[in-house]
Amino acid sequence: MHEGSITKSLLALAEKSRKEEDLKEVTRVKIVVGVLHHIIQEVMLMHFDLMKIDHRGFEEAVLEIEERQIKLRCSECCATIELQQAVFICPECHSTETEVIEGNELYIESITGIR
Amino acid sequence: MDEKEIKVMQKILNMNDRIAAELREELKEKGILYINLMSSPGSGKTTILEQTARNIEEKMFAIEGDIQTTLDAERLSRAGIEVFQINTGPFGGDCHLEAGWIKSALEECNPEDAKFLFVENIGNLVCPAEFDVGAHINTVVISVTEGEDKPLKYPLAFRNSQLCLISKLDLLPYLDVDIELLKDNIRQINPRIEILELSAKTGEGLSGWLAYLRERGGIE
Repeated sequence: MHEGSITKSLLALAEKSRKEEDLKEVTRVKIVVGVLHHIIQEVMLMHFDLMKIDHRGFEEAVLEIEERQIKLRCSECCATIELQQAVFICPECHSTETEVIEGNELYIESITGIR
Repeated sequence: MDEKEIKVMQKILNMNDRIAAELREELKEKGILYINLMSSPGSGKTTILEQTARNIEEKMFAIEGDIQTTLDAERLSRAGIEVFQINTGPFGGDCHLEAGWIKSALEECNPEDAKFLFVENIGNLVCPAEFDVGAHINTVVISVTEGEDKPLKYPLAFRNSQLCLISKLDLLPYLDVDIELLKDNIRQINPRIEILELSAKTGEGLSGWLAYLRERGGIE
């Protein structure tokens, strides 16, 4: 359900970039989303298609979503681990001193368009 | 005409995050402790706030988020808390609050003389965790009736919180829930989170929560 609000912010930001870059028409918006954000891609794509018609220059744009899995780095044993489940304890040495290095992304990577 | 790819590399929620950071700073300067309560529907957030108001002398202000109805706001008001209601129903039924809405609410009611600002977020363990509302302390509330597995199923709310309140302790004798396993699961998601257990109904554990608020709020 938060996909709607995120898409609204995404289009506002993409529109700002379109104007700054003086693009007449945007054909593709590429975003990177970490799985920690619980975004359902189909729902996000549906919101994008519904909302894009209200943004001039985005009528034909396609949203491309790159999903990133959770990756941890352990500060104790320096292991880098890709997680299947969001448990933030090092499976190698059981340390709680871990850092999420991937899986928490939520950004626009690029927009593609015609000037 | 050639297509051109332009790198943007900007966080999608950067506008929300910017407003949230401003709110956090602004309220800190005013000496108001700002706490965001997040949980599933029915975990006891409103009852905890009612009990808190009965035990804390300093003025509390609350922003109540609901898709519809003013039922919780009416309860808080009866408990002596000044309250501002945000209903998201007319705007498409959003299932969370955002920093900009909190900013607008505060501009409208200006709770300068309050010591505590509570946001009772919309009952939902997924979406509210996604949006920084600028709180000093994000608090996730989980009642013992919800089971041990919920932190693992909804990690972001636990990951993004500094405090977890385990509520409805009085129901433990009637449930099969293993509270130690629940706490282990919370710490697997967020090893640094502080956990307090309480029952707002019987008052068990309430003193720990009140002491936490007094300490963080700088009250002797």
